[in-house]
Amino acid sequence: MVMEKSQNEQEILSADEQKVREMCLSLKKVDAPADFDFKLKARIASAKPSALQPRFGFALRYGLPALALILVLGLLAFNGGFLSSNDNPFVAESSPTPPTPALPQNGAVANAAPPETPNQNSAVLPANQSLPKAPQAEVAVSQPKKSEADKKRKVKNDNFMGSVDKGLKEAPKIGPKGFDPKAVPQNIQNSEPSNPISVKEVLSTNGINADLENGKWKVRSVTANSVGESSGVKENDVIEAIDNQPLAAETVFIKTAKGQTITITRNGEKSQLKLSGKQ
Amino acid sequence: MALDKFENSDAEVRKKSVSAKALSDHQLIEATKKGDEAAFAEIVNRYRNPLTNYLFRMLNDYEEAIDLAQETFVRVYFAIERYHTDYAFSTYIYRIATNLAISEIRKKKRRRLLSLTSFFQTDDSGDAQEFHPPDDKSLPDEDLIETERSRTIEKAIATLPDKYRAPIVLREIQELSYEEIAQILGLGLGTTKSRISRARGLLREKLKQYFD
Repeated sequence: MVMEKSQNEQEILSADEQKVREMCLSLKKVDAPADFDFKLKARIASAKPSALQPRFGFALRYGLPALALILVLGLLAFNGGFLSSNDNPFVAESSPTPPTPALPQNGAVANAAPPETPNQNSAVLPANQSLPKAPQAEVAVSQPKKSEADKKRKVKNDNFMGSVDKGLKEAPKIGPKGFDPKAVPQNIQNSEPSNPISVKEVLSTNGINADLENGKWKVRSVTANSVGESSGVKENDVIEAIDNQPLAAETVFIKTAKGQTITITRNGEKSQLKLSGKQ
Repeated sequence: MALDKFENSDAEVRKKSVSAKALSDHQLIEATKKGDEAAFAEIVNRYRNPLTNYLFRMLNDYEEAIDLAQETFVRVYFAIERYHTDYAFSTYIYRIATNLAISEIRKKKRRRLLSLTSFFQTDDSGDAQEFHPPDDKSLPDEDLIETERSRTIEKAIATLPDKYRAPIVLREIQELSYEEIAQILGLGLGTTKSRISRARGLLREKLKQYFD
């Protein structure tokens, strides 16, 4: 027999351990019964090899329910996501020309940026809500729709189990001092979607730092070596127009401002200065 | 594999097994793979008694021991194509028997969760302890004392926790080497040695009445 006998190994045992070994060895060896072979043959003959193949009990018991659970959860998540993305009919129905508010400040412009895609999620909504009413007919039509949709959405949100940041909806409207977010924008030059450029931006590009004072753009300072300085714009000048476009409080330039000429009032005298190049 | 060879006459088998006796385990396996049933009969002949003894000491139940020994051979027979000669065949067959025995012990444990013996649990290992009522009767003769002693040792082994029972039975009753026991149990050599040592200590405790 291949079985190795422990006698070959040198093992130092204590007296107690030796006694335990002797006790174990003193036990009578139990032999297989005489009919062992016969029964074994019968068993092998009756056994089907397939019965001894590794079974997939584990997979059936745990794998399938787990798979089903994942499928159901996935379906729910998919449906939930689909519903919530459809949940914003205002954004979906809004015309590709969202109202462009006239904003005198850079910060405000960023806040009022038009929605980028119709499939926006709810987190963007507060920005849309804070948009001032635009005079265009399209926007006027979409306003009541929005409020209706808003009501629907509120009702839905009561049953909605997903995550909605309600705090965002109630966000306070922040604007510069003296800026009315509900003010009707004026001087909108065209209705194409574009980035509105505020007057302040146009002026500061030319090195003229101007502030709105009593509805007029008053030059606070002129940056050295700038286009504005070389054009002859001085401190305390009042800027009336850029490219013959009169400036009001909320004027914005859509697309581009060429900035070739600037009309100023200095000490009550109106004069037009050329902005480009040295004079 | 052709089972009809089992129908061969006994004389034929006997004739073949005479030559089979000279072969090693691995040679017998190779012969069995080729369909030589006499070779498998020789394997059974070699291992049925050691396996029955081992399983009996593991389970302390003769009928179950025979059943599991047969189950072990059935498994060997049907999985013989997958057997590799990396290990000794004895290691392989003891490993199958050990796994069967351990799963049987676990099944039994579940079954007797509410059985009476569980009320006499004193060991914190969670294994059920046998209940030994004090026997004050005078002992009639030496034979009975010897039988009683054997029964106590059997029970002491049978009530060892599983992880100590298999190594101590393989070592002290089956007399296998430490290396082979380690391979059978899938343990490191150090772990095997320490478990056997611990099992000896536990047996020493259980059988302390004979150590005075």
